[in-house]
Amino acid sequence: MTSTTLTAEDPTGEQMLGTLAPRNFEDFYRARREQVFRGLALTLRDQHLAADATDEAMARAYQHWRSVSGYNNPEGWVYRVGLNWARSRMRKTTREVKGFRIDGQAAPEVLPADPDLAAALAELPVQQRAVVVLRFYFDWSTEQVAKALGVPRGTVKSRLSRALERLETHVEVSR
Amino acid sequence: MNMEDRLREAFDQEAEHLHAPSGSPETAVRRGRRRRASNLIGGATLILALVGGTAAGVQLLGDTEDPPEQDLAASSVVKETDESASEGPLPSAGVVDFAWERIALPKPNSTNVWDTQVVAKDGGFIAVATGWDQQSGLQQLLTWNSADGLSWSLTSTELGGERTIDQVLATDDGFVAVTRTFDGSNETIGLLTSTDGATWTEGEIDLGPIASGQHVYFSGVTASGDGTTVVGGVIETEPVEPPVVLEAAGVVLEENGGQGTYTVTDLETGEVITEIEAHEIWGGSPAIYGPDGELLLVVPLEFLEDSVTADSGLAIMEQDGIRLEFDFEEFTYVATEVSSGNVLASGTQDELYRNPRLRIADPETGDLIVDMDMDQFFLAQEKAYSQGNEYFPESSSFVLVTDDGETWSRVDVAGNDSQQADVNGLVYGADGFVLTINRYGPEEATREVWRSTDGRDWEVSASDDFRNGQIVSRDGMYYSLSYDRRPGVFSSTDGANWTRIYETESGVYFQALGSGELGLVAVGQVEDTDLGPPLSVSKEGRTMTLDYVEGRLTVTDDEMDAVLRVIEFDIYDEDPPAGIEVDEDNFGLTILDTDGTPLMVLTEEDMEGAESEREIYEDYTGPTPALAYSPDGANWFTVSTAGLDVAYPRSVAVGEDAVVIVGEPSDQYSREFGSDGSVTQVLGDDGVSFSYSTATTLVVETEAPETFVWVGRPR
Repeated sequence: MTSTTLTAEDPTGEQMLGTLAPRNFEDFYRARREQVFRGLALTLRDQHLAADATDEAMARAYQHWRSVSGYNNPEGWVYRVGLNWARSRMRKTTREVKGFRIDGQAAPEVLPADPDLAAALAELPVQQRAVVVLRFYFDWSTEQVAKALGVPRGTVKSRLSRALERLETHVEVSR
Repeated sequence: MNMEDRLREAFDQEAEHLHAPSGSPETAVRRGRRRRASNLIGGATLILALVGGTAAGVQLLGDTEDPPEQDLAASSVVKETDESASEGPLPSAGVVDFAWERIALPKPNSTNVWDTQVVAKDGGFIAVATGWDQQSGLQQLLTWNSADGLSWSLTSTELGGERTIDQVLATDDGFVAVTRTFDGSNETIGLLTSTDGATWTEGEIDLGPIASGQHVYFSGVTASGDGTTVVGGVIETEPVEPPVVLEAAGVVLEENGGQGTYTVTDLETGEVITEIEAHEIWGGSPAIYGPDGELLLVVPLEFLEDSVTADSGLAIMEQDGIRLEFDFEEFTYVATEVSSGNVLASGTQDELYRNPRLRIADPETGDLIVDMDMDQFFLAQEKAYSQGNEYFPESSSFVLVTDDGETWSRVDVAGNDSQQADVNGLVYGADGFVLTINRYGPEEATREVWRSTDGRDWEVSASDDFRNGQIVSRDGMYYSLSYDRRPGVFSSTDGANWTRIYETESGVYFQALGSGELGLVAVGQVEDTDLGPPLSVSKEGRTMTLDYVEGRLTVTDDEMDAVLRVIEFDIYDEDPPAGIEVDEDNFGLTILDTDGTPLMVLTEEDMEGAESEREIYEDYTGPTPALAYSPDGANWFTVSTAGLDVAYPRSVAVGEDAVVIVGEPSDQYSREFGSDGSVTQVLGDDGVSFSYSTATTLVVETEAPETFVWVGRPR
């Protein structure tokens, strides 16, 4: 994962380092948009919503770039704004959106690589799912996840702990 | 396999099938700029960072001493409506009933359309837009002509090659298209003009020197008059990095303005010691270093590229007696000595791309004056950024002007220095051209009004904090939309002093203003704030209310019904404002009185419970259109919108007896989640649309969404 660190998009590896994140919005956009989209898609389990959320968040990142560019982890900020936007959007549809279950129908979700695990993930509250994705897909440390989501480290740990516990239980039950 | 590894593997496999739809930073910039304008509206901030964030959101609450854009906007209201404010709101004089029809514009099925603009001309209407053929991948200028707004004929002009259309603009006399061509290393900007939208004249532009680190943007404003056409734009210059103080080494590193070099000076004396290339800090080609920082192997880029596509996820090479194993799955490498099998170096892949240590030698003595671990350098750099608050882009404004559409000259319209400049209004009126520029920061926002009779010699005629939107001229008067806490329509005799003539109802924000024989029409939408209702927590006789829209936290005494504390905040800031303490360990927060004593102590459970309550009340209805009409510029009426299913209208043309609007169809904007089969999804509020199937893998369909105009006539 984090394939962008290997490619020509980030030949110096600078962008992996929080304080060296691109100071220019265009560079940031080109370097990080795909990764933010993937993170949001894995969290929301809905590519369309993730695409919308990514673009909304990127527009807001530009809108506040003079502040956002100074953050240690602009990518985390964009992810958080995108996630909150998507959650708000989902709430506004007055539908229950919990992973795959949207009015009892299948959403245009992410192709599950591990169906049992995907089903278990879908049962998690989105806040727990976000922590799981940031920790195990982005491979961010607890502190990085905490900063990205704007929550204390203790909260990240507790959400992660609860999430893993629920995932273990669900996967065990489904076997 | 444990759960953590299972998650990693599943995410990685799933992510391989996830690809973001096409997008560009320019789209985000344009969208962001529009949002910035919306932000100045105040109550219509579209910021969502706190929605659902509970205490997490409070962490974002900010220092109210930061430059508050909203406050500046608010002050403009007071100033520019001094006269009208005392008279109170200027509501609608009544409702005018319009009959609306939605008309699909003819176009090839595979063509996506965006940036549509419409004008009234010669008794009919002309619409122009950017088209993108999904099959050929080429862009084209699309033009539709109509005598009555109901029946349209299409003409298209192919651009070919790598040329893309940045924006299409309408003037009183015709159209201007801004194009960009990127040859892989350089970008060329082009301007095309047309009087009929069908025949385009290619212009030559003298943009002058554009330095490395500078970017040219066009603000979407243009005007024509007396044979001259003017287009407004902005040049943004990237900031230089802050000086990095390396205290242990006693030196300071300063970037030389985008030159790719750094000056090393003595921390105490300020004397220049040497100048180094950027790669001497960051590293050049990927390489492997030994434990003492000695170069062991320069890794060929071809090897790294090949490793990306390696089926096994493991790529191996041997060179100079060193065997390198590169694990694409784990993004790690191991270098071993072939002869002995000893591991020489190992680490993560990103370590290949950076120097192991920062070493700078004195050019005279050859002695190392800096020799430090890169992590130490990164810490110093982080400290430099955290201390500085002035490392932001700078913007300068300019216009391009032509008399024949063939030769364009750049004229700088230099006002106050600003981090951000928006050339947001341009019109040709009785006294020539009027140009308005909003400049932001670092500590204040101002608007400048510039005038020119010929489009070349510009003089500033006013500087204030009024926020105008689109401006049109009519019968010797100027009319403008404005974005403040009470959006509406304003009039002016000189483009500088404005009087409110129409105030919108709450939540209504106009996007476009048109003028024609029928009169003036302002069109926009009823905006959903996206922020939801305030969050409220009652505990021990006191209630805390967090109003995300207003950016305000209030604590009241329930029994006395008295306000105990009000804290203003900016939800974009990372740190909590004075008066709020966040307990990071327990995820709670304490609200302090002005003397520092706790007023309320809230736990995570308190906040999450309140958030759950708040969500129940949220309901999304999607944007609905809003229109105002004036036959004479003085009396304004609300327009009925029954049958007008447009969301985010972007252009309006007013003809002899009809009004034509372009924008997004509401039904495409408010797509249904979870619907089966094919769905059309509008990704941008500028009308950029893509169509996907609901298959698990994202597929761009060959059939693009339809493009509509709405035609309205007074009944």
